[in-house]
Amino acid sequence: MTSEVKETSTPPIIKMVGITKKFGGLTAVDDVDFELREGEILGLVGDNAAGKSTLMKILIGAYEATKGQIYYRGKPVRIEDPHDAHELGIEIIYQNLALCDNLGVPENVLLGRWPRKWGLFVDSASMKNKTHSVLDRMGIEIQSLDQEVATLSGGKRQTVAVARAISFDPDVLIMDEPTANLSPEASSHVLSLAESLREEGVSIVIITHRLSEIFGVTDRISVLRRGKLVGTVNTSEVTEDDVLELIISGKRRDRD
Amino acid sequence: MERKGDYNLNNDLTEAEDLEDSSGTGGLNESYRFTLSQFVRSYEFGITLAFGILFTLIGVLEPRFWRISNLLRVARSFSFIAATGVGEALVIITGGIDLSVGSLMGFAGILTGWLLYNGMNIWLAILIGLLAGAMAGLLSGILVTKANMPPLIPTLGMLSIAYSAGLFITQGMPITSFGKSEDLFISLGSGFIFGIPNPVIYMLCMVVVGWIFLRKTPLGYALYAIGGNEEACALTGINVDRVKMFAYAASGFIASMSGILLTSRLSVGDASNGRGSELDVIAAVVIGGVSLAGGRGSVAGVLVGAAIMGVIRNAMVLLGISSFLQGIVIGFIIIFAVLLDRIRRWLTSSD
Repeated sequence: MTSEVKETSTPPIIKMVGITKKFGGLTAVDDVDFELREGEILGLVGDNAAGKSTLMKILIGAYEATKGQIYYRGKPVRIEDPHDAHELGIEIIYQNLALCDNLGVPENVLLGRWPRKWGLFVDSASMKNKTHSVLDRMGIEIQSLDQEVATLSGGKRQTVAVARAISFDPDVLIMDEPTANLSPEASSHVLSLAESLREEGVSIVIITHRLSEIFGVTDRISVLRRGKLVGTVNTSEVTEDDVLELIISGKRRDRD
Repeated sequence: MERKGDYNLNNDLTEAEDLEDSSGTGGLNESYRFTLSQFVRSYEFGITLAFGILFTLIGVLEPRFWRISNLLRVARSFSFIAATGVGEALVIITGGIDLSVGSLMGFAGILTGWLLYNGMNIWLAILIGLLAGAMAGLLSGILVTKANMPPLIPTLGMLSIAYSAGLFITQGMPITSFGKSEDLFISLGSGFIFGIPNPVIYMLCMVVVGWIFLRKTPLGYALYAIGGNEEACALTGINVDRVKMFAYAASGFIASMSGILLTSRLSVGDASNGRGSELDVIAAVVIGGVSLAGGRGSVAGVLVGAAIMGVIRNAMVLLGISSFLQGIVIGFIIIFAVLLDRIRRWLTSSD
């Protein structure tokens, strides 16, 4: 096992081997080997129903794989529920963001982990401070933390969801279609946020179908097609058309 | 003298209102700072203003309304509804509903009364009555969470079960004798402290405790959060089932406490006590601004909601309007209150 780690220059923080997920007769993920390297941003692309979300839901324990093994920093691990993933330092930001619209920003960032005072009561001052420090770390300012997140813009809401994930100090962050409902401006902001997290050493998977957006920020791109991993490429060595070809036909384009 | 009474009752309400933080729409808000614009926009402000107008109008039409004795009587009459509404609000804030509170009021009163009649120690009899209500609520909560039933079903079942169980215990005959502790028991609901009827003090205590619980404790936060987005709560590790079960158990417990006090106040343990009250309780909660969709509202609103209904009922009696019309008036107020809230939301969201 140590020899295997030495082979690659950056050891994978996540390695998924032979992952298969069947829903009844349907094979959503078919014998996939997936690797996320430490400190990289990996784009996970593919058509609808290519198995992107399913694969990541297996990684965070929302689904149980029918077959396959997950390695975390070289060690085989069992991730049976989101709590296990959380313990390992793997966080996900869901596409629907999973925010409580009726609550304010700090209540959402620290959802379910509200700091206490005197054992019994929520310490709202400490909650606000913690939220501020997470937002500062992300270089983001939200005018009024008190307002309900329902009243925030799409980009700000995404920010709140990212802030919640960041507040756990994750080693691995999965972003499921983070730009799906955002304006181009807000999208680039969220993506630059991912870049600054990479600088802090967080390994990131961005699930998306917007290829052009992630070309600027990803180190590598993995392509899923009909449940199979059809290729992983270094972003700097390919063009968008190359990746598009992989998505559509599952084959690398012949270079002339 | 009349002016003083006016001041007193108003003061109770404004105090409860002041406790309420100034959050814009009744959602959670960590800041206690009193910002006037937020407060003025809040539903609680609107409803208190409406109450104030009503209070003044009725008094002008019928000055007897403002007599302290009358005001205290009115407050006592709606105190059982308001206090039970605090428990109901816990459930409704999670996005559920508890239809069993009225029957549980009657059942707990009968059970405690029957145990007293059979010579049990008063505090033990009350404790058993309270626990029975809490267990009934817990059972509803378990069925809602573990058996995934829509809240209407188990609580409707519990409404029928509790009412019938009450009839069975009394065999249809009201309990009017409460054994060796009869005097003490009856004084609980009929007594006064500093001239204020015990049920009114009980109601105010419930509102204060309910407010602190909802706005200051992690469990209270969890109730709002679940009402806002249950799935998100589950994903972040909040034990949604346990929090919901707590809400139903608390609702049953509080309904029982109100029911035992009502039995004491009326000196009669009867299945008709509290029967149908669930509708008044839910009406008070809704008029008070607690959203049936969950996630929004406050117990201060519930207090004002119950007060509005109580005052209108009293006014119709004083003004000699047929009591048969009460239901019609209350019905329109429920619809109007929710309609007003819709309009207010629409106005605030568009600016």
